[in-house]
Amino acid sequence: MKTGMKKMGALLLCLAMLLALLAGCGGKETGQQDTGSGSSAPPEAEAKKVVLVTPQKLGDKACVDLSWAGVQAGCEQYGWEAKVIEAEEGEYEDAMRSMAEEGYDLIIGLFSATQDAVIRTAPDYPDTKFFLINGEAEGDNIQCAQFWCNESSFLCGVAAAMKTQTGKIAAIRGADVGDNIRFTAGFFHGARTVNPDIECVPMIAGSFEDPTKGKELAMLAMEQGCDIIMQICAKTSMGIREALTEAGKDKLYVGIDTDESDNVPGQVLGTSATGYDTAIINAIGEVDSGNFQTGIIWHGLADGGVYMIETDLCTPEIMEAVHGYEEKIINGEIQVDATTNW
Amino acid sequence: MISIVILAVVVRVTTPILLSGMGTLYNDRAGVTNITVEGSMLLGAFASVACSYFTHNWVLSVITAVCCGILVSLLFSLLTTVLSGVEIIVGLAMNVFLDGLTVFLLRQVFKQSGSLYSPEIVGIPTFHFKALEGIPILNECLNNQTWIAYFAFLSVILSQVVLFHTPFGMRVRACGENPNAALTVGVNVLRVRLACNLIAGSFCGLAGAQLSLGFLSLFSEGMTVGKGYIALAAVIFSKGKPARVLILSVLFGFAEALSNTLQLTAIPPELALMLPYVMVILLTLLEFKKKPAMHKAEN
Repeated sequence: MKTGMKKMGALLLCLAMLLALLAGCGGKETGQQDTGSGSSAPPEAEAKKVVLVTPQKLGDKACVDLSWAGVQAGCEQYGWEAKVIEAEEGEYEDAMRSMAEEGYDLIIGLFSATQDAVIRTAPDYPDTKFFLINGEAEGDNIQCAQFWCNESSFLCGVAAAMKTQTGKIAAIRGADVGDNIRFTAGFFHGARTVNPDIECVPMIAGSFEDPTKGKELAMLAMEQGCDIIMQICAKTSMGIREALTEAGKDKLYVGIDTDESDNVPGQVLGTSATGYDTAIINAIGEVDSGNFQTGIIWHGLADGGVYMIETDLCTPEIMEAVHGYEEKIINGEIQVDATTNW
Repeated sequence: MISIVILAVVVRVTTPILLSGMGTLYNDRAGVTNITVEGSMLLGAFASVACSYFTHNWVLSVITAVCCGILVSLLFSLLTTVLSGVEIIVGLAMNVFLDGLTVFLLRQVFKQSGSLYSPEIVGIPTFHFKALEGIPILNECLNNQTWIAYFAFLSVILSQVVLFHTPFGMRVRACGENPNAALTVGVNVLRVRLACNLIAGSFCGLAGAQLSLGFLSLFSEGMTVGKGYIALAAVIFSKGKPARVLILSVLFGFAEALSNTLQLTAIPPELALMLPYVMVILLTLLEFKKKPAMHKAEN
């Protein structure tokens, strides 16, 4: 190749790169997806806008998908426009700032990974409302939703202890963050309340998006004799489910967040559900009507923020016990463990 | 706690590292610094799952993965030999590019983000030998593995023979040790290096297929999680000997298998998860006095 041509080629490539950068600069975020506005928005009035900033990708069939479903439902109900940003680590703050600059009315930070970003961004945009899930932040325009997921996982633990044939159960969490620890602690506490001698095996996958790891850990747990495995790890749980499907009908699965009853046909004992979608719909409604509550709001069994979804595998005996404990938790007789109890 | 069953996990986890390591060994011996191992594996993983999704045929999927690996190597060769790109920079850029490409294709073609999972995806079948069930250690190692796992370990013997006992192997080693001398004798250095690149690419593509279809039957964005770089580390520390690549790959595979098992003990799980990567650092420190023999590319 002649030197002149090479130089021309290099220059053209640089220009192409520059143009590509400018095209991306429109919103200054990475990996964004646009969704249409709610059905009832009148064309003249500008529809309010909400954006969901998530550290984990969509398509996990778990908490992120559930939250996004909540955003979309809320937008349809109130006539808002929805957007989701699957941000990479370190870019949460940039994403939130650019969305606030664009005049978004509500910015939702999903999970504790986005906590710092909310704390840093919110003070600079007092007219924008921020909603943080599973994190803690203080501010006049910030509402945090925290969930006593240990209460619902306690009930699942009760069911597990009554159902297990081997006396060994496992809980595979993604990381040592607040809600993961609460899920695990509640699960073990519930199991031990029914059977103090039950063996509880805690495991950590280190990632919420690594199905291979999930399968390895689930297989390891089953080799150790566990016959009920609870997942607390979003997309990593895909591997757990595959391991359980291959292991056969006598190994059971406990899911979280969304209704996982059909995820492993015939092998799901129950789900420790978390109302991320309801909380988001309420937040959108509050901003819409101008009554946005600020502060950290804890949701538990009492207000329906968390609950257990049972399946046919829960015998009437199990359900009776579960309802009994549910009452005791709601009226305060039982304080469910929320920190490391293993 | 650590039972003999861990051997099955070790074999399974070592296979992609060993396979891509063996392929990269050819490159290393020929004097090519091709670090697109990670990207090649990822593309192979994606291509095999995509093919399996549409054709429900794992044979075609494996072939597709190998072809993709070869394509990646071809592109790398083009950029570095014809267009005189710097090998390390091109390699790094291609890794980033391929990571983004798989994400892009996942969303455009399948309208999914994060991962592709469907009951329609057919995985690679594993071989079950009834005869082995009684024998303790052999049963764990050899039973219930995919043919890619067997091939990976056989490729060590194959590479030993090819590299040290065939004319082609001699040419490869000549290109790596003294390309100018090789050129003088009449060896077409560029052609030999291209051949090694293609071998490496096909092995990496195969490793990718093993990752996605051999164990899980799904594709997840970034599912190689640094295995390509670990394979590179294995090759660097191997000083060009296939047997050493095997030992190092098994070491890394064992570290990863162990990191899962250690979770059952009192050792903090985060430390356990660090284990494979700490191994690489330890090896670097051990080799500090002796110079690692990653042959420099002298074009």
